[in-house]
Amino acid sequence: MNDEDRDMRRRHGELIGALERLGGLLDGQRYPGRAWPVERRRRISLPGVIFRLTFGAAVAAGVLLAVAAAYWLAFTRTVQPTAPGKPPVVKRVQPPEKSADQWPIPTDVDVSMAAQVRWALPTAPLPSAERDPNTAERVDWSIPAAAFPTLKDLAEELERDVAEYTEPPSST
Amino acid sequence: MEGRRALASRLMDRAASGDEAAFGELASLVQDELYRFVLAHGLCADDAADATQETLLRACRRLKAWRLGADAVGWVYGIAMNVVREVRRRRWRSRTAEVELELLAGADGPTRADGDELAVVAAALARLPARQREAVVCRFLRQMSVRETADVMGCAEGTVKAAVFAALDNLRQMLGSA
Repeated sequence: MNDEDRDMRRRHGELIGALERLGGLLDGQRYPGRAWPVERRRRISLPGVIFRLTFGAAVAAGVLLAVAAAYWLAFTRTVQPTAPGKPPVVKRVQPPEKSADQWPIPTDVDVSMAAQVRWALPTAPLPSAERDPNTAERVDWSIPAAAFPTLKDLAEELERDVAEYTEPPSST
Repeated sequence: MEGRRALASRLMDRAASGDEAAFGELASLVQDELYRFVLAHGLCADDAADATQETLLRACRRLKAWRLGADAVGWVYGIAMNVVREVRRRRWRSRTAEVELELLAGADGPTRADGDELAVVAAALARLPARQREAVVCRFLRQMSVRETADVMGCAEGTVKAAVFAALDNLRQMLGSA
């Protein structure tokens, strides 16, 4: 026992004695004697279940994010090498740009089909005479005026149709 | 006591080296001491039995963390102290655990007067702040040295001394006003 202990016991002698007697009461106590080792059933608590579910969901979300990020990095970007010491230039992959006259135009179509194609590409008129990109032959894309019926032709055709359907059947 | 400590450390060394039977011997050697230790910290008998068992289970699971030649009893008491704190945290709403020592003092005292006095001391002890109560219980109820108490509580020796002095002052005031 050192001086500090002696001083403390002098000042608090009775109290320490009472505490030691209180501790002495425990000396007769014995562990109830459960056999060792003891297998215990794990207690299931609601906070524990909530924590596990939340933690599991967070881990799953993290994995999905990582997969999505890896996909984005691997397939939607290109990294262009630059000079040493400079950061690489990262560009998004863009679809190839095509002007209207770069679209393949079928050559084995009649004039009316060509007209439809022309209507389908309103931003740029078809060149009147140009080389066909598929066959490299000079093709005249101009549309002959005779290919379209005039209003007069349509009116005559209509009259013929009307006359045909309204003419009474011939009596034989 | 020193012989028991040395024996406990040897058993722990063997257990950590893979001797499963050694840990069973160690458990038999320290379980009564452990039980009294957790009782002294104010746990009721059922909680104390559970805490003792939990302490031994944790010690068994942490065998890989054992440093050969260390003080096994102090190490196990350190685990027990943490278990006691957890149990007390779980039971902080109910005061049932706090009165166990008081009941013990009233029932088993050598004389009626002494039993009453000890019951008053136990009740005052239960009202101390946790740190001070732990220090007083280790130092005087379980007769540990300042060094052992510091190891068990996981703090410096100076902290233990300060906590003990403060606790004794508080106890004197409480008992003086009682």
